[in-house]
Amino acid sequence: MTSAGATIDFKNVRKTYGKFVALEDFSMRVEGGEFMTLLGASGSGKTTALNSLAGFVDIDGGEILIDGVPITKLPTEKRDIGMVFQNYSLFPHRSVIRNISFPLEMRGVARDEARRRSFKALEMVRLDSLANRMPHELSGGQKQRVAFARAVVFEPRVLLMDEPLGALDLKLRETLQLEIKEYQRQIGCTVIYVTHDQSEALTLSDRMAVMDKGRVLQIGTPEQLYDRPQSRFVAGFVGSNNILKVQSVEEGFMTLEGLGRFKGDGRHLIPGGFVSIRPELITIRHGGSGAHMAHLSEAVFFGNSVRYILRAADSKEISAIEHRRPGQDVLPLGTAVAFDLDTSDLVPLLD
Amino acid sequence: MKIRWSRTILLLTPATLLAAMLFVYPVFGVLSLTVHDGTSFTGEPIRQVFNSQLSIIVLQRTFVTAATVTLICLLMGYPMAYFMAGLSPRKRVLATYLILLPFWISVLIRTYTWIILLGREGILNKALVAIGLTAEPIQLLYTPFAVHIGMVQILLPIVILTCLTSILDVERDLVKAARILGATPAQAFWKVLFPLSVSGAATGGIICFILCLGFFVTPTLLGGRTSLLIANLIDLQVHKTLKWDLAAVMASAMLAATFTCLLAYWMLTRKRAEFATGGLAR
Ligand SMILES: Nc1ncnc2c1ncn2[C@@H]1O[C@H](COP(=O)(O)OP(=O)(O)OP(=O)(O)O)[C@@H](O)[C@H]1O
Ligand SMILES: [Mg+2]
Repeated sequence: MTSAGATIDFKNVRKTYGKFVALEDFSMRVEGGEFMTLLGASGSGKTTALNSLAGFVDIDGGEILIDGVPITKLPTEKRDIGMVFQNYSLFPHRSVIRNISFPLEMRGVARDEARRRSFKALEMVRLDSLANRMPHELSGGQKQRVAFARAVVFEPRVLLMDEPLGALDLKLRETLQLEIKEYQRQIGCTVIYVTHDQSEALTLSDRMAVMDKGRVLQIGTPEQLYDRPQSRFVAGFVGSNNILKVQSVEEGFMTLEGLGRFKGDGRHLIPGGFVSIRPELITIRHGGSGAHMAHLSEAVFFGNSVRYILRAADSKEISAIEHRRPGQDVLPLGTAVAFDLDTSDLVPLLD
Repeated sequence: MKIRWSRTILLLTPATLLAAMLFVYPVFGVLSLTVHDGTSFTGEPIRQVFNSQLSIIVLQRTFVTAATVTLICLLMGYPMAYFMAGLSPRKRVLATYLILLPFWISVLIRTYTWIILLGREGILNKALVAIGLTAEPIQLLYTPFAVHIGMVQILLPIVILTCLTSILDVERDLVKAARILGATPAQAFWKVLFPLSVSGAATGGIICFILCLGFFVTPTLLGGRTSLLIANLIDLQVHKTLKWDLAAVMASAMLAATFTCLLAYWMLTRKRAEFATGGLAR
């Protein structure tokens, strides 16, 4: 079960529902065999983007191409795309094996051949012992695996997944994330995966696109999005982040609003602009004294690390994550600590 | 949730008492009439009914009429419901109101209107004569045709609405899933939507059938001598010939038929509940 993944091109796609604009100037290229994730808050247009590729909605402008061929005139069933839905959408009146053979049946594959291939797909997701169960006799995770097998059994070159793990508990999500990634490597199809869970996106994707209000804000590898967010929205959405305002930049010094003067080069920063810095890049010195003092106003224990919220002198808050060794106590709230940061870690944001 | 029994009993008592007085007691009265003549047990009424040519013919006719009317209602109602399911929610509400509109008019009046439409001097006959399809007005009123059409008109809304519910109960994503997996709209309908909504439609059919069995006004007003149904015959035995025991036997037979239908209905709804949704909803 392998297929060379197809490239997908969204070109300035626009979709409106009445006066409401769900997709605006939505452009994105997904390379063959790539695992692309659409990440965005609820209502940002992720499902709409998938639906317009699947042909469930007609777009109002722009074009979508698969392998360079425009498909917007093609009816859904001719697009040869596999899809996994959030609520699985298994056919309740068909057994597991007949659910999986459905797409083959629709393509006129001979009965025996269809059965053989369906079994192979079922083996891949390790559910061959449940071939004759009905969907309502499966657990959530099993349903999702069946839905996955059904979506890939006909070897589509494109696979769409709309929050496929949204309904499952955390543990199962993590297991299935790894499985999905593994299957995709085996099959080789191009995947567009939708989620509003940023950690899931970081785990799974080759590249990811952050969406807001029907637009793509930034596309890149997980590392690029994590390390170099370009906007306040992306900085705040992907991982946790401190977003700070630059007050002034001088030779060898810079001032951050509410936090004070920091030594270091700030030539890449614009006064009045925003910057972000990850909590794990803020260093804390316990009990010490230093140029930058703050009080702990909150502490969240994670096991291997602790997240502190520090309140600086003029009540500006900043969060810091500190790695923790066994036996190390969480500092009591109200403790005065010194903190510092390296100005070269500050990422300038465009808006 | 824990049921508070004392309150439940208190709330249910009045309705139960009323039902017992006005329903259970008389029904048992009727049932006892079929085998008991007031002084001793007897098989005479049952034997008389089932030996009588007339009652057998009318019984048969009642079942055939009920089945035909139900079939017509389903054949007209399901496509209508399918159409309505495809409308936007706002238009669907409007359509539902339109379909329920006839319920605001009494069955009697709705039935009388057919007399105006189908009579010898009725609109239909006038039109037929005018366009030259027939030279003479044809007999439409007081025929089985008139009875069927009258019954369909009254029962169709019920069938449409039960079909609509059963179609809307099918998760929309299932049809989408079928399409993206390669089904044409027609295949998605026959392989997914229809099999999943047909049992719901069948329950609508059973309700329709049961209601047909008790139809009285329509055959009385629109039917001739040859289209009397069992309710008319029971009425005849009660009011004209005063053979209450025979009326009781016929009524009991209908009751048995109704219960059989209800059993089928119950089994169907149970099966539906089992795989009502393919996904999480349960
Ligand atoms: N059929 C519709 N009619 C009107 N508005 C719609 C319709 N479908 C979606 N929308 C609107 O379009 C916007 C984008 O919807 P979409 O379903 O693409 O969001 P999403 O990013 O998938 O969100 P979620 O994470 O909640 O699934 C939403 O604001 C939604 O209200
Ligand atoms: Mg969505």
